[in-house]
Amino acid sequence: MSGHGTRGSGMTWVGRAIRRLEDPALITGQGRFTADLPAAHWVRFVRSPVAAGKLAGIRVPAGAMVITAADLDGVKKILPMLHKFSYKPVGQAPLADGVVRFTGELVAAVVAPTAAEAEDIAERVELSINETAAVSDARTALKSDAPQIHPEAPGNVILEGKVKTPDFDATWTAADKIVTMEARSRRQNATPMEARGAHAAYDLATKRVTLTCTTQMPHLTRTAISDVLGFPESDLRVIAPDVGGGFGQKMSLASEYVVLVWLARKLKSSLSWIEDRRENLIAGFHSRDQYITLEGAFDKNARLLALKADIVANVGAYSCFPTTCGVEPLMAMAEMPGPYDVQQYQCLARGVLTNTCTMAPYRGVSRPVITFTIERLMDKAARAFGIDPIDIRRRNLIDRFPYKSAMGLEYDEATYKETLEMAVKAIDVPSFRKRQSEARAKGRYLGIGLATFSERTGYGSPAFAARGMEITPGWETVIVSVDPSGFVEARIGSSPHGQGLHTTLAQIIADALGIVP
Amino acid sequence: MKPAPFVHHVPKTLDEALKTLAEVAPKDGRVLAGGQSLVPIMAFRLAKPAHLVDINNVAGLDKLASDGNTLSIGACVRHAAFHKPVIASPLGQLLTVVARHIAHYPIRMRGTFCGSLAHADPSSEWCLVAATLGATLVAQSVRGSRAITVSDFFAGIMSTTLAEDELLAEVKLPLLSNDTKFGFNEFSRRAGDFAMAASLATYRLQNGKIRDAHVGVGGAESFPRRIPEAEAALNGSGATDAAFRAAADAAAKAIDPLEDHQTNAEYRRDLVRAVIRRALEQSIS
Repeated sequence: MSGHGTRGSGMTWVGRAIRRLEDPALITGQGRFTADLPAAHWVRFVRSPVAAGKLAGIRVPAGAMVITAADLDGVKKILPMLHKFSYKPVGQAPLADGVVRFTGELVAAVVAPTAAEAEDIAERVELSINETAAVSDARTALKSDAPQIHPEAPGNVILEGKVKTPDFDATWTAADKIVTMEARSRRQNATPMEARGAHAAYDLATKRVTLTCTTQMPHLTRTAISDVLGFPESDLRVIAPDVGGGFGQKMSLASEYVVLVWLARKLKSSLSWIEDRRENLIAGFHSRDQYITLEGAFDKNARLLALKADIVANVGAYSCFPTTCGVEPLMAMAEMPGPYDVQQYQCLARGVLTNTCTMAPYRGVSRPVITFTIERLMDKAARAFGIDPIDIRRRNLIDRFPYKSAMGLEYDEATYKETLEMAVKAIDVPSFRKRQSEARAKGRYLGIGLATFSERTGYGSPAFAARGMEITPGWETVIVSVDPSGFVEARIGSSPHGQGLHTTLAQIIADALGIVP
Repeated sequence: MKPAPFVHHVPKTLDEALKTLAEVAPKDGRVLAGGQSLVPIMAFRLAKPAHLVDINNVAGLDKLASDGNTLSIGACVRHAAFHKPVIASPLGQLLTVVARHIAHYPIRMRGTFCGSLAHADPSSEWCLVAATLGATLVAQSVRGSRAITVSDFFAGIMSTTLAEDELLAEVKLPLLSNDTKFGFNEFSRRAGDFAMAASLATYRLQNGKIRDAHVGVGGAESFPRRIPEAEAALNGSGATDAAFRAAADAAAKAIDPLEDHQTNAEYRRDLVRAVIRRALEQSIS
């Protein structure tokens, strides 16, 4: 590395293009991933082939080692908690105990000397399930005659966020035009390049288990598993090796990891489970299955005065640990107004249980859906007022800072309008409109879509802690020490999963201490 | 996502392959060539053949040859063989244009031309080429060799008239005369996906009039076929926008579109109209 950015020199390492410290190992095949570890046993899970039913029996092939809920004596349910928004705690047994609630739910674990043998045996495990009525759609699940997923959450509503600003009603009735936008976001899967997987190894000397797993949250994985299995955290070490992408799917506790640690302690041996792509697509946490009805009340100059949102988020069959299934509906509620200046806001955001794969945070968490919805609302409003879609944004984007949103979020200085004008200039909109009408005459459709996006940050700060999630305090500890050789060691809590965190933090620390990263 | 156990046979000669196939076919045996369709469905355990007769090591099956009238494509010739024209005839260019639309690069490196025909996916580009150009398919078994014209080959969705002990050893495509014009177009939601509709059109121009029009449609019905109504609309007309639209409309009327998880019949009918028109437009561009 040439050049020394040092304190007082005016040069910084942050903002400079430097070679990533992670890359030499990764691009020469020296990365270490969970699936690289050897294991004495391999695990394959038997999953529910149906969305809802009662387990009447499990027939195991002769001589096979198959673990079911009956074996997990004393194991607690995974129980994510939230102490607001009428959240109903709903537990999840690591292996289904009597009832299956979504296709892909774990029913049994097969242990065999190789992954291939485990898969062959798993196929021969016969499940006897009495199917019951299932509901997969969130709006249907809200109906009075819908199957009830958990008795703890009557009406299938697990969480209900409500907000209404004081002058909402008066503003609404005084408006010139009400414009409505209905949006439907279909279920998505984060599909990290490396699917999920774990390796649990028991140490005979210390009686401790080392769990190496592809995760975004090694510390909380440790906390959760030792709690569910009922032993001290010190008996479990969790290692996140190189992680091939997470995008949120790996920041929720996988039941599979819990079962693996239980098995390692039971067999006093080592075991691996490496999820295949099909399992990942079916049961590896989903996201963004939402209905949003958004209404905007505008004055005669197309200024947005008030916003009304009804958010129905399908959270699947269980709540995810640790964030809970509140993340999607609550993020949508908090950030719906986005970059638009609107001080009157009413919102009902519900998390609805269904017989589908559990929802978990996925990069962006609701923001792609809410951004799409409010931008389409603006387009519809522009049409209703007979003005240009660019113009309605000029009239409504936030342009004074700091700005406090109707939800109380503080916006730092931003350049929404300036950025819009730059885009308009770069596209050369008048000449595009000409090309558009010429193409239209020939039966070709050209168009421009406009979207402005603002992302709330402040993770690991009081802003995050204010969310009040149990187990997730929202602050971060970093220990930086200098050893006698003069080299600096930093111990951080954040777990990298492909973003180059090692390089980024080295740059920050180098600037702070006047050293070379 | 690992296949169920099976016996892997690796014959070295065609005779050996046919003998093995005759023996294992009644016991749920299948031929493995490129494996780009069979292996994934085995990984999903939707197919669990007890035996695979792997023809990748059989000498002589990777031959591409021409006798001056036809191009002969052996059972192990990969899609990627057509990335560059294999013969100095419009046929060579046509195959190159079409090959680009087959799935993705790694799949084209393994998958085979004959395998695509034997698999008979309705949206297969090579099945469309065979149907449109009038291929002859050579099936071999211990009982002998027989030639099947393409119109007698497809029997339904992923179904052919090959007997279970027969290996599709070779496909022969007629060479195209040097004045042949052609166009190909397919529609899929993402590049490399299965086509929701595709069309290949060839014709010759004589005194400005179209003759010998071949208009094939794939991905829209149980298997690809020529559409005589569209060809009739072209033969005798100039290569004009009006004639192209007339042919596309005639085909859209004539077909009986599949309905599947991707779309309904009416949308697919509309796609057929579009892909034919675009294929014909490409023929003059």
